Amino acid sequence: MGGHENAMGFHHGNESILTNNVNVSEMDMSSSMSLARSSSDVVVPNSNPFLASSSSWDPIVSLSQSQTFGGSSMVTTHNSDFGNSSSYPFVQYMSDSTNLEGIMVHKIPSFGSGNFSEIVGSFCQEGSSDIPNMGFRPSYNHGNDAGTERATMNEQSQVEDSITEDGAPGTAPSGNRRKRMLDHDSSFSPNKNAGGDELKDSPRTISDGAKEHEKKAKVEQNVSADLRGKQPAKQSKENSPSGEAPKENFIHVRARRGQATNSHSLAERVRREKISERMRLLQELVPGCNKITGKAVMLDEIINYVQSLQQQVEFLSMKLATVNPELNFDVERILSKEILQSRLGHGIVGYGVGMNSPHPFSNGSFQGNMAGMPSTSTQFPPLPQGVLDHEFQSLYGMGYDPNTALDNLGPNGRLKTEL
Amino acid sequence: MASLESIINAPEPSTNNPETTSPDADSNPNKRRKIGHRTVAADASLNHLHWTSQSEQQIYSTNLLRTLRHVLRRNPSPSTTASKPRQVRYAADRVLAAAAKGRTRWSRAILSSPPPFNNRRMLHKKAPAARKKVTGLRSMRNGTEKKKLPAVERKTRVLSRLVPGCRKLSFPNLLEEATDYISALEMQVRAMTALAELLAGGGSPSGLAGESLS
Repeated sequence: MGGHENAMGFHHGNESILTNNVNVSEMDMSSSMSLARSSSDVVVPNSNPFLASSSSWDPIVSLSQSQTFGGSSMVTTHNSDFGNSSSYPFVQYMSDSTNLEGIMVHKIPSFGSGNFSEIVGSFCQEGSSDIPNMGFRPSYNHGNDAGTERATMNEQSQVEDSITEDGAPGTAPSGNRRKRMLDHDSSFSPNKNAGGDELKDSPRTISDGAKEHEKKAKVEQNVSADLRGKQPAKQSKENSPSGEAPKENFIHVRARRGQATNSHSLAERVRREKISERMRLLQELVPGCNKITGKAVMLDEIINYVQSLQQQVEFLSMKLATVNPELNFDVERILSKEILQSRLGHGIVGYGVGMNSPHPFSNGSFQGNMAGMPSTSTQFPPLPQGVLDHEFQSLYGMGYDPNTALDNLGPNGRLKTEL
Repeated sequence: MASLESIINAPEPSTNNPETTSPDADSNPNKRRKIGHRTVAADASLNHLHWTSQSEQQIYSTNLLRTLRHVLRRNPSPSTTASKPRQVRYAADRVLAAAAKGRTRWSRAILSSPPPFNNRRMLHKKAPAARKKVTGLRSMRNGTEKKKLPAVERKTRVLSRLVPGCRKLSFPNLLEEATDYISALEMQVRAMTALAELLAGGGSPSGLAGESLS
């Protein structure tokens, strides 16, 4: 049946969206959304036999068309596929677009039969649509400190642009327009292969030193050239058409006001910012590098520091080779307690022996270890299990009294050791 | 820890993944690379701070002590031999790399590197050969023309040699790995200092309180 075919076709569309979607490019989003929109019209009437009320789908249809949620139409097809009465809450939630992601989260367990990938795919898209930092994009947004970089790309980027763009009122709308125009061009162009090729090529453009691919990408598409782009004065790329390539990859760069909008310079700016961001991190790590500007000197310092650290490790290993660790069974206990003592104000108590569950584990540094701590008061937490080998337990038994060593722990007097 | 012996003895054939860590990365080779970059970025930027946490140091110290016992138990030779510090260093590095949970390149490279070979003859044979090759190239270069690579590149190369497993890495990724590596090294130094203090000093806990930790 036609409806089924469309559903199947949409299935494929879903999967293709999913496979392309992990780093969602705008191309895919737009193309998938166009796919979705085109097929949603046909799918919905056929979903009636599956659903309780056919009229309940209308707001969804109108939503999917008025808004630019690819996800909403995905949801419709999901529901048509699974066709259970759980679609009802969708209807109610649908009107509130911002809850969509919550819906998907909520609804994932209800989709018992396979196709989890589809859910994930739509979840991806949901995450990308309205809430910039949710879904599978947080990693991008973490890395994108500069105001020019953005990882979310869809046709709602206009909203985000106005929000996230810092000082680029001039170029932002033009960039918007340019981008969306290009999206529309590319998405509705008959040769989607051009877009697909761009897809293949343009991810490489951001890579270091792969500018030639960028040129290829630009040649392929019909970019509305230099609307307002200033020719980069220092950019010596010869055959670069002066339009900007819409960044059909997952990192959106926005030309800042007064900066060159050539795609080469944009890509280079992205690259430079990545590098400078990491150099900044390194500067914080390496002591005494606050005043250093410049990559060469900074690299010198980094190299020296790494070498000195490695030498220290070497020296310490030599020192450790000479000690006899067999003698000191209580070393670990002392080690743990002393470190605790010096680092933390309050006593992390009876650390090697027995723990009481309640409050000391509000300390953030232990949360990595003691995830299950509150529930296991009698059980040794994982770290002390490392400390207390079975040999220790056999050695110490229950007669061991750590309190003598613990007396000098902090003012917190809750030394309840379970012995 | 999973198994001490596995850490000390056999380097596990850890598949050096290309930088992909995300599960969805199989679809598109181009995307895979980018996903890898970004996830590595995100992870690394998280990780390099997690080396500073107290719990990490705790875990490391504990495991280091255990492996130390193993190493020294296995090799009760007098401490005049040069192999013991090397083995200790090797074990310490491996424990450190294991603590990284395989998220970084350097840790994977460390874990997959072979244990130190103690045969002195082999060592002597290897080193001069390597040096010869390098100097040969250098002398040729000096003869023809003084071709200096740009300073940044030279230093990048040096740095890539210092950080294990990062020889053919792009510059930004190299910086990332270096960041995480430096944090991990700092933690290693802290832990080993504390341990050495405890083991060699052998004083009372109150005496050592807060002293051995930088």
